[in-house]
Amino acid sequence: MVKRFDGREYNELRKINIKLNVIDNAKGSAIFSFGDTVALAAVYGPKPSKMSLDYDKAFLRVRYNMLTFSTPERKKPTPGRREIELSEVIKRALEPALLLEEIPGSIIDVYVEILNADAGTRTASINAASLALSLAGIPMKDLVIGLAVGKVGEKIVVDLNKEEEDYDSEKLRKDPEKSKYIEYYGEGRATDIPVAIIPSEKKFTLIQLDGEISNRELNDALNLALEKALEIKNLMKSNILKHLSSSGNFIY
Amino acid sequence: MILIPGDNLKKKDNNSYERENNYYSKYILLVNEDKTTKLFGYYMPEVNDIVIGKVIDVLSNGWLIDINSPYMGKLSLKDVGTDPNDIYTYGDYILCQIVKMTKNKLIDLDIKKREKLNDGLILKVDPARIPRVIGKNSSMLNLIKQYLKVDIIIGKNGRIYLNGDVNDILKAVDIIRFVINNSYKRGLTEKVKEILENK
Repeated sequence: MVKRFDGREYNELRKINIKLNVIDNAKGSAIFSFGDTVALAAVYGPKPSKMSLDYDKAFLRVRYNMLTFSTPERKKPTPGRREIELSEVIKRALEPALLLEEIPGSIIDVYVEILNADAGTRTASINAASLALSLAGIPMKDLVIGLAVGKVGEKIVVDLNKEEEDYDSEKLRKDPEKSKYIEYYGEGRATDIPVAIIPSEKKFTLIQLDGEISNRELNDALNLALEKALEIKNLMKSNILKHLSSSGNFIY
Repeated sequence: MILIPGDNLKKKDNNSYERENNYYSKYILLVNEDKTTKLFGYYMPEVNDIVIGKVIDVLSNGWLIDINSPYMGKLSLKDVGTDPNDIYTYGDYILCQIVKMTKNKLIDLDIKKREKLNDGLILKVDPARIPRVIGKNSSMLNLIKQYLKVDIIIGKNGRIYLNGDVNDILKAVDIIRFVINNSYKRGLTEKVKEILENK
């Protein structure tokens, strides 16, 4: 029986690894990884701003950055179009879940660094950032969960890796070792849909789509994402509890 | 029991928000018989609080003070007097009290103690855990002062000032770190007493 490139089922996430409060100097920090994609987030603040205080909510500032050694070939350290865009995307995904009107006029800084990239960096960043925000004590409605769903060939799958993102059945056919995967995925190319979800409200705060997909398939994919988001949230919760009891913060 | 943001709460309090007539937690909370306590947080200024501030700017009519919160405080020259010895500069720590707070979160401070707090040690801890360092009716604080020869001033904003014998200061820092890290263990005061007696 042929499975996905890395042997997963269609609805199976990559291995998730969470480390909390890794940076002492930050108010809250977390490392979140989907398989080989590793994101580190640190939160500073809320701190005072010298600007006028006539605003009705706090400013959230997000900086997304990929480290030079995170990709197979060295990445130039200057922030490019991609980094600036993703910073804004992550900020807009997180903002609806935060109760920023409680601390009007102050600044919350979120720094996200990608330690290793293997597709799905923005979703891993969102997860790391929302964990770090909760550890910094920022008031929030819920943890924001980011994950990718998509159509590879004709198959709806969850949490695509780099190989699946670049899927092309035409190219694969020329490779005798990998041509067996066409049987599983089907003809065509890949469509990647990163989403961010507020699980308790079942609300999407981010949907991006890169490729082609029909209405019905999109619906299926989003339902799959909702289901998987709950799984990730439960995992996050158990990690927070484990962290609190192991660091001696909480013994009941 | 520990709750994370988005978990259901039975009733309304400071640490919850409302959605469709249900209450949900908005922080990482410790719940103990309907009483909820924040585990991580920032300091939100309130009138009459005593805080340890740091001078970050000298203005023509006073000083701009960082009070480790989302808002900055202002100390006016007229509250301090015109004596040149009273003039503070960048980086000075001073003990202040919040006297007024406007709707726009402009905070007026008054000095609580004229001397600068520059000759001791300033310890920074999570403001959400300051109540544990003080203890019920300041029992924890009195216990530390009873066994060690140190001056301790606790600012509600998460800054602790220690002064006195160097060895005692180091011991006190260890004790405070212990209290902060084990802030939700039961019978903490007895445990601290035990450690203090052995030292």
